[in-house]
Amino acid sequence: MASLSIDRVTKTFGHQAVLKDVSLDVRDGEFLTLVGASGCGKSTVLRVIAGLEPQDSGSILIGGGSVDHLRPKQRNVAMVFQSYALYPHMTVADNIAMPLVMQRLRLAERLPLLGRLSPRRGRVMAGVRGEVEAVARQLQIDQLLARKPAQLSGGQRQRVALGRAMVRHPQMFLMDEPLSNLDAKLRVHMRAELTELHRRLGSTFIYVTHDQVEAMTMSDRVALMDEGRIVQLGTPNDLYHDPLDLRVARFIGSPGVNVLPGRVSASGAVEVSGVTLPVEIEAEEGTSVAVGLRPETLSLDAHAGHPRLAARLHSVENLGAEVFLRLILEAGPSEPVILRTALESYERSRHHGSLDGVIQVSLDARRATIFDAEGRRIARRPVEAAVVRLSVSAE
Amino acid sequence: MSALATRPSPGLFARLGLMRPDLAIRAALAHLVLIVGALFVLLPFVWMLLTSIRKPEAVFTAGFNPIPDEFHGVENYSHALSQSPLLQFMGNGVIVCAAILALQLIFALPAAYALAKLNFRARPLVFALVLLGLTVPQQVTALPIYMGLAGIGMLDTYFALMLPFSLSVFAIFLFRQFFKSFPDEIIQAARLDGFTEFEILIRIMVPSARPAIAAFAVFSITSHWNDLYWPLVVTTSPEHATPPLGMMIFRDQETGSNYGALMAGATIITAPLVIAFLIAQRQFVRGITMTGVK
Repeated sequence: MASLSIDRVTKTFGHQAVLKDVSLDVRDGEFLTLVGASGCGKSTVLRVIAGLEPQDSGSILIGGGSVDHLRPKQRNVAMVFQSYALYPHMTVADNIAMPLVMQRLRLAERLPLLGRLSPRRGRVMAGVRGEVEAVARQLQIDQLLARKPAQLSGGQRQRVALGRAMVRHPQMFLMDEPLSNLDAKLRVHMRAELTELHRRLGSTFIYVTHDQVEAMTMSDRVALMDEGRIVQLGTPNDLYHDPLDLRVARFIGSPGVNVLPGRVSASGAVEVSGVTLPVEIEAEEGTSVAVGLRPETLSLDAHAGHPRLAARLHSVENLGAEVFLRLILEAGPSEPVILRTALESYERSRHHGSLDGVIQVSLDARRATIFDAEGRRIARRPVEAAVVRLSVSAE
Repeated sequence: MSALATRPSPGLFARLGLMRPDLAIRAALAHLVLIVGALFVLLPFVWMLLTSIRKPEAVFTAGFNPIPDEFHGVENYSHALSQSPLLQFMGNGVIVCAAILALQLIFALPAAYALAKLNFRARPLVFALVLLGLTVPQQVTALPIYMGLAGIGMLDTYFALMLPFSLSVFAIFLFRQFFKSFPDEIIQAARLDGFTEFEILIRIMVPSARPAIAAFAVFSITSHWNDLYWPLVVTTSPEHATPPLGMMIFRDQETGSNYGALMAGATIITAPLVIAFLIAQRQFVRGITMTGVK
């Protein structure tokens, strides 16, 4: 159990800069997720922490001390790989035992035949066997100890890989997309199990994934990476509701955020698709902006003070409890925007026939996020002013 | 036929238990080619076997009767075994082949692991040298090595028979190709678990490379068991002669016309290889297909 600091780390493969100045502080016992599209450098961060790849510059501190000069095994971190990386010709028991065997037996005692001459070898191995069995029981794989990895299902291999990581009580767990080789149902199950494991062990978890759902559901904090940099670090809520960059807004959330082109008007309000959003942002008149609207900021029901957009229904996705409507705006881009609504609201509207022809969609401008041409979030003017304007425009 | 049987409505040929004519012709042609090839490869061995049970006088009779009129095998084989130290030649062959194979593996496996999985500056250069080494024929280096051995007085020893082959660039290349496809993540997991590089090699890479090692062992053992060139260069006495050289010495010593006994000897020294191949056949084929060599 330990905290981790990554201090201005860079890494280049050939001419390809993979990590450009990455800094990150992880608290002791935290579950932190690095999320991003493939190739953003998130796995490289893990490898640098583990010591499998040396960084070009910057340094790594575990528990406050620099580990830059330490070999992977001396860093006392455990890693779970996407492919599980089990030793193919060893049994499950041997796979889990290996980290302890390597730790507790001296090099000479590990030799194939000579090692048996050592008097303490038997004692050490008996201790290892006991701990392996305890870990296997925790993970409910104690029935499988005699099998080889090839005889296991994906979920079972995953557990063996976890067992191999847990058995030596590392300071930190590094997980590189551990669930992405599992089928969808098992993934949901293992998600809950990993969260539970984290709670029980109380260790620091650094978890890498390209799946934003995993990032949102499991983490204390999430760092979103793109092109070798951390774009935003925050709680899942921060990233969802308060993205500081258009890339964050787009990556987090399913279905994705609606992005509409807009323009700043004279008063600092934003015109988008023929309506004026009652917001005031700190930007010059005429600036082109991108307006991010989560599917739940759009509504079929009229609300006081919410501007309304004219749209036509494109298609419907009914998930049971909630419904996603794809709508083509009358004045706007040709690709549909997505509206999320409760089933009752959808049924009511359909019953009234208000989904035929032109639909009036109301928009909660307070929850809109506005970005400049480079994708950076534009701050709003102080809240009081916006509220005043909002109440004025409502009348 | 099973593929045809699963078709929704079997045609006339299938119902009669026959192949469709076009497929049958294709299969027949393929088999014809294979049969001709097999005849070319196997006929000399068949002839060797037949000659080894013929009377010496019958070898050169004008008639081309493949089946001998009179079984003379017992005499030929006992003659071959009693008149020449055939078992000693074979013992030499076993010693030399086993030692060569062991040395080749000891040198090639670590080199191949380094070339496949470790990053070091000179790696491209070393690998280029390995590839270059593949192109140098044995005969080119024979004379310098012979002179070197003569210089240190080691001619006509087991050492001389093994030396030039103890380092096989072919083995390095073969194992390097095999190791290259081994998942990096397993090696990284091993490093995190505290394996030394040498332990990664012997505890993880070598067990996974068993098929490739078996395939290479067959290559190595057959070529050195059958090698006549190098033993002829460095060996003069029968004490260190390997089987083919022994056969030559044997032929010179004897009248030179007892072909029945000669072929009996040849059969005896060929048999171990054939038996070994039959035992290792499955592993061998798997090794070849897995490494993508040949």
